[in-house]
Amino acid sequence: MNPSDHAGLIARAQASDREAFDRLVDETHSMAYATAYRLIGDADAACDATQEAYVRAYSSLHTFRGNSSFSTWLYRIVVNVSLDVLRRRTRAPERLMLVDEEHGEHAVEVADPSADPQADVERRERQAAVLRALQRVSDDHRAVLVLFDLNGLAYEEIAAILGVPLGTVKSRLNRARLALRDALGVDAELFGVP
Amino acid sequence: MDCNAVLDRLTLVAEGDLPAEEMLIARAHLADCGSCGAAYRELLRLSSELRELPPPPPPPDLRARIALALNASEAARRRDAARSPWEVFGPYLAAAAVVAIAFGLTTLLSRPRDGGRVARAPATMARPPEPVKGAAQLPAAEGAVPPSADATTPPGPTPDDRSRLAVEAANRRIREFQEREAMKSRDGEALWPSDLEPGREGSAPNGSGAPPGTRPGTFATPPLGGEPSVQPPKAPTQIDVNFRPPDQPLVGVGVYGVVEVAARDSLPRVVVTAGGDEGLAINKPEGMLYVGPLKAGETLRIPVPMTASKAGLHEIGIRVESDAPGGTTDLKAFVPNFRTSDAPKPVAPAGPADRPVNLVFKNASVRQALLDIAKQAGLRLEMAEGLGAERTSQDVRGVPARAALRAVAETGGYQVDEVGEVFRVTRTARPNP
Repeated sequence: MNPSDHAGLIARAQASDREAFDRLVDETHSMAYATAYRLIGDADAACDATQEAYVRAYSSLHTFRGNSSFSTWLYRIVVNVSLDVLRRRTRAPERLMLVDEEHGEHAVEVADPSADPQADVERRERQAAVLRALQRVSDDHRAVLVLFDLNGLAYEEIAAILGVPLGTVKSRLNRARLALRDALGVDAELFGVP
Repeated sequence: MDCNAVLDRLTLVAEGDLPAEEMLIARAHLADCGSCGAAYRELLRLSSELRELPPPPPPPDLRARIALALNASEAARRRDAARSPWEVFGPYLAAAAVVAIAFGLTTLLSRPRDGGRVARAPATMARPPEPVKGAAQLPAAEGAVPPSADATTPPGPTPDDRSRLAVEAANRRIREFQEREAMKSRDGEALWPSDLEPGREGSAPNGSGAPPGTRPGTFATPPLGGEPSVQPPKAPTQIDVNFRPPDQPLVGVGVYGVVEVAARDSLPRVVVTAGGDEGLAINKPEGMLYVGPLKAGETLRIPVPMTASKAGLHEIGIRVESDAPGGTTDLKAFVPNFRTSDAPKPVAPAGPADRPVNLVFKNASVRQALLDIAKQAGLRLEMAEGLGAERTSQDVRGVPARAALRAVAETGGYQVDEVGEVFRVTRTARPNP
């Protein structure tokens, strides 16, 4: 869906057209959930956060003036709600999350016959290691990593979402990547690093 | 440029975001310095690894959960709007009056006998009074997001009690549904609570009961949001629900019934769920069949995928919820004549599509699962590029290939049509909003 379609839907949704808002939800909820999930590291809490983000977005949609894209605006709400969840939660010392356990049943996906099973195993191990490390870095670092590397957003969008200057996004991203590297610990070997 | 300066710029080097001269110096350092070079390479690999992580698939019921939370939030707003100003502001005015009286008393007592000086007003008067415990909440200023929630002044992370309450209300309803299911499978008793049995009056918390003229199977239940409405419902929304059982139901085989839903008034959002008795599984997560709009005069026809584990008569409950007053309808229906596959079968020419497949899918892509079924049964499958990225978990061992294809396709929102010998997979047509 292109931005002009969004504009039409947003205008209708701002006039309390729930159906139009539902279409915006249809378009964006996978992205919203993925962001919340990567930030929080817990499927149930991410589900709650996504619900809450949409309720907040719907009730404050009249304040959206189109200075940014709708998705940037929504990202901001999702990130804020997710960070709220993390702040509210009595945090466990470490939120471990294995790729194979991530959604319960990733490991038994029907194998692609053309794929190299050994390479597939190694890829999964590396992904699991990165996800574990991602859950060990600070919330601020994780937010910038999720938005830049996982969601592929531009510096400017991230600056708008996090409400920080552009320079801060760049320096924070660098620090976050170094922190992620440190958080890998023994798993660094999987990446060919001694 | 020393090691620290280079480490500070690794991302800028990686993203090509340094002025040319600085870039040259940094690159030269990375080539010469073993530890900085290793850190740089590691960062690149990590970054690439992050970018390749597959997005976590949203839970199948997420969309419905969002819809229920939005419904609950809208219902709460409508309730607030329906309250008289005294109901909403009364407790605050009362609290203000108490403070004012206390202040007057304080002023009176602290006034010097000569009356020459007036005691200074307590600083607390500048603050609004705290809400009285248990009193009605003031309507939140449009959620937790500040009034100018935009890119320039975006919504802050202020906790929003209202949105959280809406989420809790939605999740409570889902939990209740799951508990009903669990109870049903434990003791095989009634599908719905006894006060919602067909033929009895509804149990709307406002005490209105079933509205006059309500036909059996239609109940006046509270609007979505779960809380009793302050105002008695207006003319209840009439939702007609019909169920057509599968034509030739076989035990252990995925078959389809159809639920038909129509309403007198247009409804922006209805949620249709189904649950079977202990021997009848509805093959949809949480029994969620449909979330979407319903136009006045339009009849939604929604397939109900189900599998029976024993022969004979089965019971099915269909619930259609909307956030209109009295807009929830329960229907209890029967699915007769489930037969075991050993029993005389209805006429069906045996072909490759009738051969059972032996496959189990766990979080596989719908596309891959359909291809596997077609491959095992020797069927020709036609599916447009880009379709079938959704995830599915299905056990189709012993299920005829045709039924297996349909069951898997259904989980991703697709339908399978037979065109000659080709099984064509297309998106299930949604009602035109």
